[in-house]
Amino acid sequence: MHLNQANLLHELSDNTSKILKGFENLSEIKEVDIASTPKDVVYKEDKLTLYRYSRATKSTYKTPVLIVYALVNTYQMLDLQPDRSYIKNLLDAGLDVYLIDWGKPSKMDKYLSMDDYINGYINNCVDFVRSENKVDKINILSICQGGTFSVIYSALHPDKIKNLVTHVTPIDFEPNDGLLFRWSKDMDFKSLVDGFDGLIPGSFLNDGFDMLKPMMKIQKSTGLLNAMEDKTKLLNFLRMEKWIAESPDQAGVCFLQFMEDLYQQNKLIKGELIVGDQKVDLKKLTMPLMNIYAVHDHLVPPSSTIPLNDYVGSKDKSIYKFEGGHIGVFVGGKSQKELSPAVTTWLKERD
Amino acid sequence: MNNTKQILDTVVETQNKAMNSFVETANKFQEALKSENAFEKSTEIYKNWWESQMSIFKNLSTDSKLDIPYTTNLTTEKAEDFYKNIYTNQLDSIKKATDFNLNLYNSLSSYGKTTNETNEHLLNANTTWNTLFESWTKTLNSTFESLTKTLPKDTFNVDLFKNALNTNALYYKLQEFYQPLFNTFNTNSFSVDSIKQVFEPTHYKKITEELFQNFFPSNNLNSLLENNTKYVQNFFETQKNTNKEFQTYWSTFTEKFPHLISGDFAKFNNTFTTVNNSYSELFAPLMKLVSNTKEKENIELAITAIDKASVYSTKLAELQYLLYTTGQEVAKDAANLVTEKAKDATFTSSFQPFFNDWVSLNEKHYTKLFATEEFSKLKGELTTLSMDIKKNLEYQFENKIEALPLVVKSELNELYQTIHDLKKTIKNLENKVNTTEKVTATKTTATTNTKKVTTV
Repeated sequence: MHLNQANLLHELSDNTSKILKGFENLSEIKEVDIASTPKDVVYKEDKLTLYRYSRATKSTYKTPVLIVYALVNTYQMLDLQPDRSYIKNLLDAGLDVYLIDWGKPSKMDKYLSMDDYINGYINNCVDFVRSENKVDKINILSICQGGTFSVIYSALHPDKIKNLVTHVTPIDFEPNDGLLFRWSKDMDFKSLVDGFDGLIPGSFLNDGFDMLKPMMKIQKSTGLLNAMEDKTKLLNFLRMEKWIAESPDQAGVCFLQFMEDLYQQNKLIKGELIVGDQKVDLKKLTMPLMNIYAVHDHLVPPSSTIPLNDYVGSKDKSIYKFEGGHIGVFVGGKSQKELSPAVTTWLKERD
Repeated sequence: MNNTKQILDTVVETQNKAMNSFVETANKFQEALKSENAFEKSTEIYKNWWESQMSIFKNLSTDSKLDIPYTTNLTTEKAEDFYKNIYTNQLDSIKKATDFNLNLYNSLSSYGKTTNETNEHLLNANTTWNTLFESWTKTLNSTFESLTKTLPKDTFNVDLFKNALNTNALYYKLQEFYQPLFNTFNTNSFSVDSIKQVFEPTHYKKITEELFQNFFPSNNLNSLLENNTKYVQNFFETQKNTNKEFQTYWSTFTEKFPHLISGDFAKFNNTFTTVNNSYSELFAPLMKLVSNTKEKENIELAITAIDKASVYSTKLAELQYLLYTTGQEVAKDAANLVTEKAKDATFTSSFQPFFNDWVSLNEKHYTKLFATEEFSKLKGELTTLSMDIKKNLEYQFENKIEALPLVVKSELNELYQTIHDLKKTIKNLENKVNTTEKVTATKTTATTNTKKVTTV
């Protein structure tokens, strides 16, 4: 056993050099661009914007796809950079892609409910895409909380959806596998929503997500030190950080219902959830379903995602196991090579 | 930009030269310590190092590249300050290093000392060497912080750069913490006692606090308690219906409040329980004497705020205790890990592997703590209490500004709710109209088709 003092000094020297080089690189970076795949605004409602992604060629699919992202964070993670873009992969495969950007709720939107989001906004976007493409049914690709909303929507409006793909979607909220699930059982969400005056700050949620991996900030900062010297790596790091930082606030009424009815009382799979004036019956979700979960997901553990297939009425249902984490599903190298082709092939077979 | 690059390169290059010289000399000193003629060798090493340092810094201060005018996007006063700082600080650090080594040189030059005495000098020099670098690192980190002022804030989150610097600082703080343990290995004086000394809980406390800064708030809570307490006290002192007995009772309680926030958990809990149990009983009859005004409402709110802030303090202390004790577990595991790895001759070639292991141990222990029912409940209770106190203070504030010509939050909420309901009604009506229009259009088309068929 021997502590080599010289190496400690080398580390100090290396880190100092990295910081200086990093500063030089940071000074040269003028813009951190994300979500740069071209798209057009085709529909707007309140703060919501519906985009249609530009295609150089005609779509090779008969059925258009609507992407429904979560209210937490933004859809931009699906199009982080050209070589790590789930959306670009879908376009390259020949799909006609629409996407809902929820926008950033303000205090004016604090009374928006799950009914407003699901039977209002999602339904209006679905109707728009159906009408514009003159089709009775469209495909939905949904992510995380957007997946839960889409499952509920598809159970309430099965006549409008041809195929449903869910990514890392929480359905069974009973397990305590993830810290988020554990903590939510002991949280008084009513008091939280009141305390924040009806609008849950995105920064509050981000702080909570950070704590799910207690040393994540330290590891991330160590990673930044190592990435600083390489401008490409630094830019990749900054893109991800930009996405994390752009975390919209949450409309309190919707947040409260989502946390109380689902996280705390698990009403969806119990068949007790009421949205608007309708009870949600998962057996009425009968379209083909592709359920994608991530093995190392610390936000939405597989134990919450996998059970979806047991509760729906679909006869054609498949499950896709992704070897990665919650975010890796969309930005990881494996995602570009394996997941996107799997999804587009599955849709093609059911087009 | 080229100029900036050139200047930064000069900084890096000079620093690397100085650092390489430090490194080389540190290696030589350590080797010298193992040999029998440590004194002669060290004297030679010192002379060489001293000359090398002087040469490097003579070049640094006269380097023509430093005279390049600042004509880049960093040509702000802040950037200029940064460059001045970094050179001043580096030169200052090196001056300290030089002074230190001059002392060392003098001690080595004292002929007639025993080998043991000489070795002791050199061991002390080793420790001082580390201290010197720790001080130098701190200086550098604080200088780097000034860099953040020149970064384009609109382009990215400047806090990221600060976080990286903080992690660097934590890294060296941790290294400083574990240095005595590593020293025992270097000097073959490792024992169980040496581990116990290193892992003295109070020493590790600061590292835990740096890791979980959110749970170690500043004095905000103290001022909240103090302000509300003074408010209530002043109110009753000015009320003619208040009798002296209550005032005396109140004074007794207010005297106890400092103990509530002293951080002594046991005393804290006992005092709080006593105060809290008597609190509402004390003020309930008293409040009946006060007429129903906004001020009365605010006093009631302030009393509730004090109650809740006291409970919050107790709960926070409980949670901090969990974090501290978990930190101790990490420290113990880290000590075991070091002890285990001490058997491996290749270990500690660098501090980085140990740092990585320490990070993993933290991740494991704190994830385990965060998953416990005890932590989860405390976290939930703390969140609720903090929200209740926030709302309470907002109500007090609203009551105070109610007389002013301002729209308050609760009134706006009513407006937001009304707008939301109206929008929903309109959207529903629009949908009904659209559906009706479609049905009508379908019926019209069907009728027309029927007519056409009939005609045909």
